[in-house]
Amino acid sequence: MRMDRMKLSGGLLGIVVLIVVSLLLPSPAMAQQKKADAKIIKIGILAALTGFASAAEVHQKDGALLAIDWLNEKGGITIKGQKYLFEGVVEDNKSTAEGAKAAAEKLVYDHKVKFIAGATIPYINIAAAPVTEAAKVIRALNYVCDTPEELNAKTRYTFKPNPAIREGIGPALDYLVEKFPKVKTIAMITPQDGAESVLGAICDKEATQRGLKQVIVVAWPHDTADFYPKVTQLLASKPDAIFIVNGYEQATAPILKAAREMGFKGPAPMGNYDDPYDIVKLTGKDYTAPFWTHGWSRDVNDPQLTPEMKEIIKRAEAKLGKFHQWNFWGWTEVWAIAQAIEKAQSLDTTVVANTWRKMDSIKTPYGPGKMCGEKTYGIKNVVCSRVAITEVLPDGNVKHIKWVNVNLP
Amino acid sequence: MEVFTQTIINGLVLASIYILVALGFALIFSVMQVLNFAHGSMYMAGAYVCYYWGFALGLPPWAAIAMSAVVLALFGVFLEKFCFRFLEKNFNRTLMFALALIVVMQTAADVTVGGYVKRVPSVLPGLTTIAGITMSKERLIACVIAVFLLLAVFFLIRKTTLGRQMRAVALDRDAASLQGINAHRIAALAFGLSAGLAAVAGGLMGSIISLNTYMGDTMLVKAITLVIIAGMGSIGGLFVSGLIVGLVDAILPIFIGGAGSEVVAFGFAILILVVRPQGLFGQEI
Amino acid sequence: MTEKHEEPKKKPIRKYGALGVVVALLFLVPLLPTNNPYLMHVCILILTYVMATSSLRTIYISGQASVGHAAFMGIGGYTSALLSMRLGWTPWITILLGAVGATLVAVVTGYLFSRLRAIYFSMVTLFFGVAIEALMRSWVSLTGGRSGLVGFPGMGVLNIPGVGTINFAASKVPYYYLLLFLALLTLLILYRIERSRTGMNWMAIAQSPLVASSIGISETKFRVLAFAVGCFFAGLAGSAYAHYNGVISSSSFSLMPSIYLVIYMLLGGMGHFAGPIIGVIVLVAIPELFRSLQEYAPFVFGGIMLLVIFLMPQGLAGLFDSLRPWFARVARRGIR
Repeated sequence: MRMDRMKLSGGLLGIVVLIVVSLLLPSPAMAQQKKADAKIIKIGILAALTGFASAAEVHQKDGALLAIDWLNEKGGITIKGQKYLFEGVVEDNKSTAEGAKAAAEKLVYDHKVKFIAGATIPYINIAAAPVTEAAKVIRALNYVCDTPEELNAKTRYTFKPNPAIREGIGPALDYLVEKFPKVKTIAMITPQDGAESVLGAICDKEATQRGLKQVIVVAWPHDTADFYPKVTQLLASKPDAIFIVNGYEQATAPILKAAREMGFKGPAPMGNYDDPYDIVKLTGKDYTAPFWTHGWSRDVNDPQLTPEMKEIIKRAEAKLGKFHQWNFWGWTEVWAIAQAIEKAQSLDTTVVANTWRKMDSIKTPYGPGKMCGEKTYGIKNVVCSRVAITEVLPDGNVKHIKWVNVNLP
Repeated sequence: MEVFTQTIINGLVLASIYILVALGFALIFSVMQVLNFAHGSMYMAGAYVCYYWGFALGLPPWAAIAMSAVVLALFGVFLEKFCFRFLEKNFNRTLMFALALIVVMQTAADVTVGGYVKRVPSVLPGLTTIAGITMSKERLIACVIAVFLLLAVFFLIRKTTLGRQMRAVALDRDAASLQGINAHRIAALAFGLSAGLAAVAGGLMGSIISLNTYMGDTMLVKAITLVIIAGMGSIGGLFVSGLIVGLVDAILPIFIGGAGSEVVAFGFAILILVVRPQGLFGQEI
Repeated sequence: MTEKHEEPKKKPIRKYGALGVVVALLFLVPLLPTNNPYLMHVCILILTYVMATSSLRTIYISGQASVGHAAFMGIGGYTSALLSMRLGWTPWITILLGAVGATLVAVVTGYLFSRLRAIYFSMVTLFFGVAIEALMRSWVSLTGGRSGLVGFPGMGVLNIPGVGTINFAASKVPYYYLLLFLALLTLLILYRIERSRTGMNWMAIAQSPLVASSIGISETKFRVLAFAVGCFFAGLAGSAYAHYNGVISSSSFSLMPSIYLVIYMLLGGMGHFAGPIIGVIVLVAIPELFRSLQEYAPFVFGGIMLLVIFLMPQGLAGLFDSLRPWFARVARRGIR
């Protein structure tokens, strides 16, 4: 190994060449910008394409892109006589806090988007917030776990058009009490993502209000592979029912399966929106019931599903080959953003944000929604529509039971 | 009592799967003097290939696992013959190749399968009751298959000619060649066997739990943990370290947070490193 | 083999000319018309990785193939973030303390692992890196676990009498200069150490530990020294970047980041001091230029790696070796 100075210089000259070349190459985003200013609104999609959150957010991204196609087919929107079409820009948040910040910066500073759809996990949304709020970029989140930093009076440009955990807890417990009046004790299990204590307290309150006693809260780390120990801990207090508060299918199903394998036959509902079909597939169709979730049925012949939901299912199968219910998320976000922009008749995000907050009604695939959340979050940036109760029957079939309107004060 | 038994069985299941993977890893090291960091990716690939055969092509689960083992074993032989063989003199290049494999295989899994939820179909779905204790048939059968395989490999290494040849190459490659043993062929077989074992472990784990594209990383670390505790060069010692780690993973999270139990397993391995760097049973440093 | 004869004396401008031009250009980057915050971000990232990868190479040339280097960046970053956040100390000091913290851990572990031979050392350092990351992830009360730490102070506002104020919160440009300064300092120090007696000793123990100890070079002492020096700069890189980024979480310091550092270094070529620098630039610039490929970018990555492994065993920097005779003929300089 010789460390000749000549070599060092030679090597460094090579580096200079590389740097200069890559700097001087016009950035693709900038080239597009010149063309784009004319008639395109870029919507950034902050989704996890790698990492554990990708199982859900890849579908959110697909849904957002589907919605953009749909809006463009309808002619886009018109602002002050000028027609605008939409374009989606996707950046990977890698399921980590730094990844989220880096992706947010790419979207805001490099692609120069003013509207973003996504993401889900609390620490991801919290990491991206300083970037988007400082740049006054409107964000429509997939989900909120109710930690104070995610959504509060100061996050004036952060909106939540999809129903999340807060809306889901009550209706799930109501159905429990209705169908299983003998249940007295309930054990809660949720991910360890920073929200577990907040959610534990909320669930406790909601349970007590309905005459149930919450006996334990078990929190599992995001990379748990084997859920047997956690479920053992959960069942140790011998609850009548298990409440799977938050999570995603790849965790919920093993939890449910472990519980059933350990002999628990009671109700094991979900507080959030996991896909019932995936749960049945992963858990086993003979094991799942009694179980219900706020995820949705896919039966296009069911009159209780809205026309928009059926449209999304159809389009997803046509364009992607396969539908996944998280397509609804992305679609809801893009649609909501488009409606807000059109109502505001302006691309100034401050105007759009203020208009959005004041909208009397706003459309979502789940049904008509209205703005709410002032008391709960300190800001009226939440769209309250309705949640579904979708049950898995003892034979493994999925059935939509009913819609429950939600309202967050 | 029931909970206790279930937990112990679970510990045995985890232990046997960990040992299957660690065994392959240690085997490659012994025979080829190569640290195959891509071993975790083999495990992951095995699980995904198993899913493909079982689900997309509809084979019964046991056949899917067997096919996946064959495919991965062939891949392992291919890797040795055409790649590792040429790189083995240079540690840096071998290292980089293994790392390149990890990157490529992980991305391949991410872009082809990626976001859709997957689980290998159960070999034996359903519950069974033995001696009054309800157990998952699936976990039980995974344990049985894994233990059976481990015993088979142990028998292979201890009692058969091929096993003796492998041990000879592991001890002293040049002397073994002088004895007429084709060291390259042995290396290829060892690599193939190791990949096959990892694939079976992946398939079993995939049916008990589920698949994700980064399961390989976690398993690689587990394999390394086992090897550190047992000691380099000790194949039998892996059984002991596997049991320790498997039981810790099954029991501890019941009482303390999940990540905490991971740290305990790591801490134990670090303790071994500090107090007895050659591991519990190893002979070399 | 090291030369024994005297290098013909060349005028300093010849030796350092090219280098000077490069450094000057680097200082001028923020003034480019195409400059924007995102470009600054990529440059800062490159500078951080250059520090980390070059320091990794320092460890490698002493014969220790560490595959857990990112963990030390993490130790530096968390130490600095926590000290500035919980104790309120100024980041200008905590950045150094972060590096010191990483060094302390490095000295202890370096000593523990110094008796392990090369291959085993790799495995153990990989394991240790993951163990540290697991610790960072599970000690939630200290590190925030997976959610990480948010909101610890950046470099703040700097008042330089006579010059004016530099506000780090206002834009990324001051951070760029800070990291540029730190990176150049790191490279300078590492280069000088490598060219000194210590560096020679490192190479000696890497090539043949027995012969080296027979002439009185203590293998343990120099191995630990290399490890400590390398991890100091890793910790420095980690802490500086943490304060720039404002967010730190354990996922940046896990197995794959450590693996990527090794890849950057090996791709650039371990035989040259500039190797890691080239490796970092090529492998960080590629995903940026191929952004349209998104999730397929790692394939390009892997493809480049395989190309280099099989066709360019000395890494990319080795290209310059083979091209040098050509340059020499062109420049008519009569170099060997």
